[in-house]
Amino acid sequence: MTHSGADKNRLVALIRREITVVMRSQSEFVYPLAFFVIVTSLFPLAVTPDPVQLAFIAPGVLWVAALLSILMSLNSFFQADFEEGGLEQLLVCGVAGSQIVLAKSIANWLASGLPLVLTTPLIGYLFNLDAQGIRIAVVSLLIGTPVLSLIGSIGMCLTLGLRNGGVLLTLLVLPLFIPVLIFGSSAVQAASSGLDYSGQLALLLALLILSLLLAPFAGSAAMKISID
Amino acid sequence: MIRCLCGLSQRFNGDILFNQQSVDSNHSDFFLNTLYLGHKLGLKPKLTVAQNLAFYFGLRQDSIGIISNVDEEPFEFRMNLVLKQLSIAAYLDEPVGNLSAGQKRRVSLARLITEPVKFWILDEPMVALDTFGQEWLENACNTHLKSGGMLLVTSHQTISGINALQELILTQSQSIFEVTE
Repeated sequence: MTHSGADKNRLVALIRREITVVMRSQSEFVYPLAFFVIVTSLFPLAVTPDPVQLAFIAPGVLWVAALLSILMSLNSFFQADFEEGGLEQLLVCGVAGSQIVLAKSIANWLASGLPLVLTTPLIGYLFNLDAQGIRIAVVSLLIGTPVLSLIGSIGMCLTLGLRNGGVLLTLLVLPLFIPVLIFGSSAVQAASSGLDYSGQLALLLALLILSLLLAPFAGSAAMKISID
Repeated sequence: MIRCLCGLSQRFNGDILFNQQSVDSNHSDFFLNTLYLGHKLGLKPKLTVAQNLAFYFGLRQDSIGIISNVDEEPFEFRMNLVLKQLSIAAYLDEPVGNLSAGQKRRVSLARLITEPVKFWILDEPMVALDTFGQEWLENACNTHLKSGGMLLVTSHQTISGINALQELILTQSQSIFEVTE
């Protein structure tokens, strides 16, 4: 009982530290969001300004932009801590590797995923999505972006300390992102064309539970290999 | 070797024992009693000196009761005292990133006082320290030893001030060359 209480305190302390660091350097906080907004706003210019067509491509555009934005934001959470020796210190202080990965994933989602979810209604409106489509876009991103953060953390732990880690990270992680992308965007598509979308959302939720359970441990094992 | 000892590297054969128990099987007990300071300091440059020290103390807060001979002075008091001794008290609310290498090193050494644990593992702690800082460290080590603590220090310089029990001198091939009592 007291043990699990201590674990929880540590997790909260870790998350709070990550968030404080992110808030100190606004660039890490603003860039992913700015990237998301800029990429999505380029599509009407490049593809077509036609509202009907825009509503048709909106689910895919929203999801791809969110996915890339999360991928971009992950680097700062792990790489700096690895280079400064912070990860080593945490491990030597007796913090479990899985706890570090979980804390960093949660902090990453709070700092980069949640702002994306909150701006989605605006982007959806710009893309002429109907109200139901926007609602499901928000819900599906709310469930899906934590999965992206968690899976991305595993990849990040594997590529710690590598010189061109960014490219390798993309190669490693994108195949694992694909199920999330497919179910996420098809849920929005189904909702905006008036079909049943509960199946896709249920699958997204299943992915979230699965990655919450497994990603911290996989990430921890990968981190130990990278630090060794 | 130091990294193997801390459980950070698994590239070795054999067992590492702490309190007659393998470090691997007894992970938490070993880590609760150990403070490792290596080449990388593990300080967040964006956080202030106080925030960095408070964070590491907070991680250990639940375990610090275990150590017997800790005076019950609160963390804040000990932190202010040690920073004053190290003459970096003025930088308490300064982000660590703005400090010089020697100042950063002293902030990390302050953890020896703010987190009272039994076993200190110091990997080249003298790097970037001036003579004053080295003297402080030697004094701190001596006090620690006198109060029943354990200490493992590696250094390229000869450390004269610490009343060390044993000195191992390693040759190029990493085999033990000489042991002086």
